Formats: sequence, C-alpha cells, structure tokens
Amino acid sequence: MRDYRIVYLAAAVLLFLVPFTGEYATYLTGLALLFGVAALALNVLLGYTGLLSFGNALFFGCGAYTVGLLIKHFDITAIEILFPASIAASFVVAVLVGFICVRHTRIYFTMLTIALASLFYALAHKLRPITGGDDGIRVYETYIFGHEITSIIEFYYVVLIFFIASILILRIILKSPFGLTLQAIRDSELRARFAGISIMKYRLGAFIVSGVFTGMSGALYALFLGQISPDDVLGLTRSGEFVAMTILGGFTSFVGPIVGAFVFTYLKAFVSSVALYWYMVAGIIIVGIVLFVPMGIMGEVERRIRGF
Amino acid sequence: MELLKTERLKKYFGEVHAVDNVSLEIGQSEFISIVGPNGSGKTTLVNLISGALMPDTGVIYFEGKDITKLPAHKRVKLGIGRSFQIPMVYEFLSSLDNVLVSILSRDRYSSVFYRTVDRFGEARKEAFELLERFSIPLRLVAELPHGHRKLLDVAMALALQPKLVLLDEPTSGISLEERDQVMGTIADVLKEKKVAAVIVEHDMDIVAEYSDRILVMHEGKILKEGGKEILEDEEVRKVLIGE
Repeated sequence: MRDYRIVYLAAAVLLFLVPFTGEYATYLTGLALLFGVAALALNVLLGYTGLLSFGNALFFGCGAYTVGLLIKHFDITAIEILFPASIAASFVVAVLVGFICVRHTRIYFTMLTIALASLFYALAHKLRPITGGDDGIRVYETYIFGHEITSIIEFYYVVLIFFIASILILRIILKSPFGLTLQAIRDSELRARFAGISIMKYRLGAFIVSGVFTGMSGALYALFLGQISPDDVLGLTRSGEFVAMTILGGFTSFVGPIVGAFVFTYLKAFVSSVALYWYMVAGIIIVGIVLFVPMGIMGEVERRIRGF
Repeated sequence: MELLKTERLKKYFGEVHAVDNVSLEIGQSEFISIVGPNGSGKTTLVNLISGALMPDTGVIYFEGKDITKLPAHKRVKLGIGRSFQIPMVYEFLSSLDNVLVSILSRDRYSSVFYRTVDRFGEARKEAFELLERFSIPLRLVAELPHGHRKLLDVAMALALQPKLVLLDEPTSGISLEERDQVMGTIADVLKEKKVAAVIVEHDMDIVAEYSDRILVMHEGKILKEGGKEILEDEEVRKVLIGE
C-alpha cells in the first residue's frame, strides 16, 4: 500500500514540473489532466455501475457552454462565478437527462445517451444567435479573484489543482458505501434490489456524479483552450474518445481511465504530427486493446502485480 | 397477529396455473417448509411474497399491512429477506463486501458517499463474523465454489436481519455430508434472531427435522399442510415421489 503512495507522490511532482519543459508539453498535459477527470467520471458509470454512456460529451459541452455563454452574453469573466455556474448547470442537466436514461440498461441506456447528446449538439449548432453555431464561442480575458490569467502555465496549475481535488473526491465517493452499492448493482441488480436497494435512485446518483465531474472538466477545458465549438465539446467523437480512453486505460482499475487519457492524448498529438489519419491509428490501437488486453493497460498491470 | 398472510393469491403464466388461490398464514418466528414436485409453484409463491413477481389477484399482508403492490426493495425494508435457488451474488466483489452491502443497506448507510467503507468498522466486523459463522472464505466471489456461493446468498439475506426470510432450496448443490451442518447453522441463526422462515426444500430429512409446519404444493395449490406426519400421508407421498 505504502509503495503506491510513493508512485502517486512521484506522479504529482512530475505533473507539477511539466510547465518547465515548455508550452506545448504544458498544453498537452493540461488537456490530458482534463480528459483524465472526464474519463474517470465516465468510469463511474461504466466500470462501477455497469452503464456505458456514449453521450458524456453532453456534460462536457454543458460545462464548456455554460462558461462560453456567460462570457458571451453576460460579460461574466470571474472564474469563481463561471465554475460554480457550470457545476450547477451540469447538475441540472444530469438530473433531467439521468431521469430519462437510468430507467434503462445496456444498449437501451447507451442509445438514449447518444440520442440526448445529439440533441444538445444540434441545439448548439442551430441556435446560432445564442451559441454562435459552428463558429463556437471565444473564451478570453478571464479572472480568478480579480487576477487575470494570461499564460497557459498559470492555467495549467489551476487545472492541476482541479485534477488532484477531483481524484481525491472521486476516490472517496467510489470507496464509500454509495460506491460499493453501485458495484453491487452492476454485478446483480436483482440481488441488490433484494438487499433493499432502490436501483433507480443509485443509478441516478452515479449519473449525476459522472455528469457533474465531466461538466467541471468541460468548463475548465473552455477556459484552458479559449475556444469552444459544438464539434469539439459536444460531438459524438468527444463522447467516443472518453470511452476509448477508459477502455484503453482499463475500466476495472481506479487509475485506469487517467492513464488511458494520458496515453490517448499524447499518442493523438504525436501521431497527428507524423501521419494524416489519427483515427485510423486510434482504431487499430483500440481493436488491439480489446482483443489482446481486454482489461486495459492498468487492468493488465494490476493483474500482473497481483500475480507475483 | 400473524406475521404474513396471503389471501387467494393467484399467478397464471398463460395456461399454467403456477400459484392458484393460495391462502396461508405465517406466525412470528415460525419455520415453514414448502415441498412439492418440480413445477408445483413453490418458487413462484416465494417470488410473489418477496415481490419479485406481482400476483394476478389476491392480497398479501405483512404485519397487518397490505403489501401487495409494494416493490421488492421496500418489502425488504419492512423485514422480508430472501435467497435464490441459483445463488445471486456480486461476482466482482469480495465475499465480505457482498455481506457488507446488505448490512449497510439495513442500517441505511448505503447512500453515504463522503466516508469510505473502511470507516464502518462495526458493519465490517459484523460481516466478517457472519462469514465465519457460515465458514465462507474471504475471497473474490468469482473465485468461490458453488457451495460457498449458495451459503453466501443465504448470509446476505440474513445480514438484513429480516423478520421473515424466504430461502429457496438453501442446501441444493451442497454435498450431503455438509448439508446437516449448514442447515443447523441456518436454523441456529434463525432461532437466535427470532426470524420466521419459509424454505423450499427437496431434502425430506431436513424438512422433517426443522419444520414447525409443512406445506405440500401441487399444481399451484396447497394440497396439504401440517406437521411432519403429513410426509407419511398417502396422497402426499404420491405427489412427492410419484408412486
């Protein structure tokens, strides 16, 4: 147990040092951190509750667009207002969408998440006067407690703090009685019901946790990148990437989705710089993982550690 | 007052009269066995009482309250627990966590999300003791053999500290040598906690030894009920053994 703490500490120190290696690495790592939280949030549903959401970009976009719209229409530039507002917005959307989705499981749940995410995507596209359509919204000149954040490096540290806080909070949630109950529901819904558990209530709870954390990472993504568009934050591809990251890293492991997000983000940047067809490479990698390492990178690592 | 009462309970599956006009009463801490050939409606009756199935007609009272329309998880909260013929367990959790889920649910801690499970020392201790009592090893459930899974299923039901527990063939799949010991442990726990039990059982030695009352079911109806002497009844033997 103790040696794991050293690994975590070392990772935190490395992440802290990233900005000293240059702006591009900082940018890339910042993205990986945000996607890491989103993938972890997706795994609250996939790995812990047994529900595959192919529509989590809905929450990512919800957080991002809350920030974008408040800046565009209300000139609100204080992050201490923007961030809580996007938490509230993703919470409300998660409750409403969750209410519809959690009544169903398996493919029906997945199809509903795709359908509802597509609906929001279409809205962002079509409501041009409000959302800017496919041009999206530019997010700039934002302040944190009166201090304007100008450099990507400053933003990176905001993202890093958010990342660490999110992991710590999600870890407690997933190891709590609530988290254990979700896993029980995942393994046998019938049994859980006969342990006196109201299945819908817990699925909705998981959906809300997933939605809010994805929404928060979306909000910071908008602030970090300075530009959002429907295709980037609300598209089906974004949802699919969260799933790919989670499966790549391993949905049976707590840190799996984070590792998946890092590998995916760096690989995407690297492959895109040397070859044209990133999605072809990504496709081959995902197929390879599913066929040969079905538990994902961390699932395999943890299995080997247990084996010795 | 009786603990559970059913009035003219009926459940048809198309042409099959799975449960047909069953009226019965179960007293506090009574031990009742349901016997009957395959397809006589024993499991369907358990499913109706536990809320896994809704009856076509008829009424179920628990402690005088009409629970006919109550969903299963709410019946559990009132004090009706059950186990399953094919063990229903949480495959990818440890045996300890399997029992712990029941205990936390019983104590209304399931929705606590801001404290980790390790901080629930009392509950963990209780779960551990229950595992020990049933000699279930502390392991990932996916790695447990059938007999242990069966027992775990029973332990998960008893961990809820129900007033009435419905056990569907608790000793099936457990070796003949161990059966007596397992049933003895179950009966001890039931007696200790004053739990009423309805068990579906094929082993007539067990039925004769532990039951306060025996119900013989045939084609969805209660054919006979009484003490262990009814197992010697001509008509009952005919139904059970098919002589």
